[in-house]
Amino acid sequence: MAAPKVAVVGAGVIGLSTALCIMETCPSCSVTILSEQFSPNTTSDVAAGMLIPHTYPGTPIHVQKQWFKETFTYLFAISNSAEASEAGIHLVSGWQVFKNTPKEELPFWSDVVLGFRPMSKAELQKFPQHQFGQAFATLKCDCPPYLLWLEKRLKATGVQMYTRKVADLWELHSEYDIVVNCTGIGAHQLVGDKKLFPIRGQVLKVHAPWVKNFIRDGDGLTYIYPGIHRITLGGTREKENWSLSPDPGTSKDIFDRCCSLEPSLGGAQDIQVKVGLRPSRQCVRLQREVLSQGGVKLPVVHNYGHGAGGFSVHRGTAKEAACLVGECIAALQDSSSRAKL
Amino acid sequence: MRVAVIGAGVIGLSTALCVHEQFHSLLPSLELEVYADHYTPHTTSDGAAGLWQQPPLCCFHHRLWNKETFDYLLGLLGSPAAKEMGLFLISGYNLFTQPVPDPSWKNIVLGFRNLTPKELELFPGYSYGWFNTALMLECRRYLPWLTNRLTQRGVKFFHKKVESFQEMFAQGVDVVINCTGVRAGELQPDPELQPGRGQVIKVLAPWVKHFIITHDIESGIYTSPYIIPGSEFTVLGGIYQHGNWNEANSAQDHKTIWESCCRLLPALQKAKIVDEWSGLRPARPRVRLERETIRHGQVQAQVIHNYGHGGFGITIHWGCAMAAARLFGSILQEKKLASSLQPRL
Repeated sequence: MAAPKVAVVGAGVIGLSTALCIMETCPSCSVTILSEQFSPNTTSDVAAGMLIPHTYPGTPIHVQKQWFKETFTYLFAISNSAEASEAGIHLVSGWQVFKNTPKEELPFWSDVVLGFRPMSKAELQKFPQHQFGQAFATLKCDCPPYLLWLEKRLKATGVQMYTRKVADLWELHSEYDIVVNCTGIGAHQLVGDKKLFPIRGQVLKVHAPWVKNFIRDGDGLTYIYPGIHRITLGGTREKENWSLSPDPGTSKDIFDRCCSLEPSLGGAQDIQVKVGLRPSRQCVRLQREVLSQGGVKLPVVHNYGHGAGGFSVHRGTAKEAACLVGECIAALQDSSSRAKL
Repeated sequence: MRVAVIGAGVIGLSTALCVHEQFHSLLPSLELEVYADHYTPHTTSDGAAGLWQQPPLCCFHHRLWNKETFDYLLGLLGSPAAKEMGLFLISGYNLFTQPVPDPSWKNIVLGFRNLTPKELELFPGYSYGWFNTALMLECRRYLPWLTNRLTQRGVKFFHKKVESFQEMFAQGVDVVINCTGVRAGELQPDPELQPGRGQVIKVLAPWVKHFIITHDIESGIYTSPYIIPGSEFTVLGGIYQHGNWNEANSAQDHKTIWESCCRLLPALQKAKIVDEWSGLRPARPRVRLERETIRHGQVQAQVIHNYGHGGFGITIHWGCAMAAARLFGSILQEKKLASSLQPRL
């Protein structure tokens, strides 16, 4: 078949990186991105974009590690290049501190990040309420810059992008050969996935340029992530909460918790509040499906449900999704050549 | 008891504060004054990036003063004053082209360790290095903060160029504290004091969160590129010219700094240049921190010298200020001033 027409639905970090991977593996494809929202209004734009993986209970650890490693390697190369500032990728070092020593002292990703080691006693003195900690350096993807950089690279390869709310994947069957579903939390309604649920996160983005290190409480609830222009202060993990409206009481609570980790934040300026719904699932839904109605088939590749770990594994899952798209193309070519016989 | 501090850089102001803090209640007659021809933001200190780090391969014997300064600043980190002082933690990399012994300050800073092979991939051309967390103290904020503390304490400031120690004694000053930095030779010849000219380019590169300091053992300290991110802009440097008094920016040095720093961190190519500055490090084989008795008519007047801190003035300033304060205490003891004189060390 000439130039398979692929629609990628969703323009967050997953949609854009998946589209880019498809173009890299299948340059003859015609890829179009359809999304209700683009940067700066996606869930990805709210996230700090720190490469510290979330653990998916339903995915084998070696798979998660592979996804993380691919993503880290990819971004490491960008951070080391002249494009780093435009892409919003930069190295940050810091500390993950625990009030109680964790059961697992060595997370699966400890040898992927840089310089991972336990914190010294002297370093821990800065955190009197915490008993144990880990120091390391990792990468951060600032949004919107990273998404805008991905969009720029996509446009350079000829990918078209349209603002469009897709109500049903089937509506695309006449215009496209393959659909890639990167709709994040939108998949709950779009494909009726009841295993997908939001974990609401509220964050503050503040101006505090003297904060150069990240600090994260091992409980995952309180964190300070320095971005290029702003520091992301977090956060919350509210399961099944669909509200996108900022809550002022929550903002105060986040601010207080972060100030107790880093007192100098008391002098932070220009506090902005943002809310995002982590598209959470036991495991990332990364699989093929064939929709069919009345004898007509529409191959679909799903790539959603990355929860709190989207940035950490985005490139790894995008590559796998691109492989699945390749399989779909092969299957289509196979059946179309058989149809000719 | 009139005390005149000459010089209002980081050394002069911190010494004044230390002396006043320690002695004003023990010595009610203490009148402290600061004299300088340059005040912030026009002092040598103002141009410095502000990173606490003793040059690792130099054999200065100042470990205790450096440690005292680091510990003092670390203690202030969590206080509300930190932001106003321009004080914050910063981590980063020291890079070498060959293995070197660990620095004397490895246990002073936080989390000191060697670089892993993967980290060294970030820095082609460098095969060995360290990572640690240290402190930044930005003088553009620290000096005004010191000035405010001193003003609150009733210390008076005079904007004038002091031509000689005698000039001060003739006015009735009892003790002079000489913190005149690179131009101390104008008050008293000192062939060991030389300018160590440096030049820096200030850029906007807010994505840089670490200091990166390279070292070239052959060519000497501060001659190899370094990148130090501050709270507003990032300082690029790597120039050291011994004996060069020229404070004008050099196009050749600009080229050297720019090219070598961009090679070190390619993303800098996109950074916007906002300023350029040249300054004279007050270089000396050792810091001059000692008392001197000077005849003034019938009187034996006292001078405490505290100058010659090279490129590590910020790193060492508080330890030196306390040492100078101890010297002041010894002067008071000799004069048998203040009844139960117990200098707080």
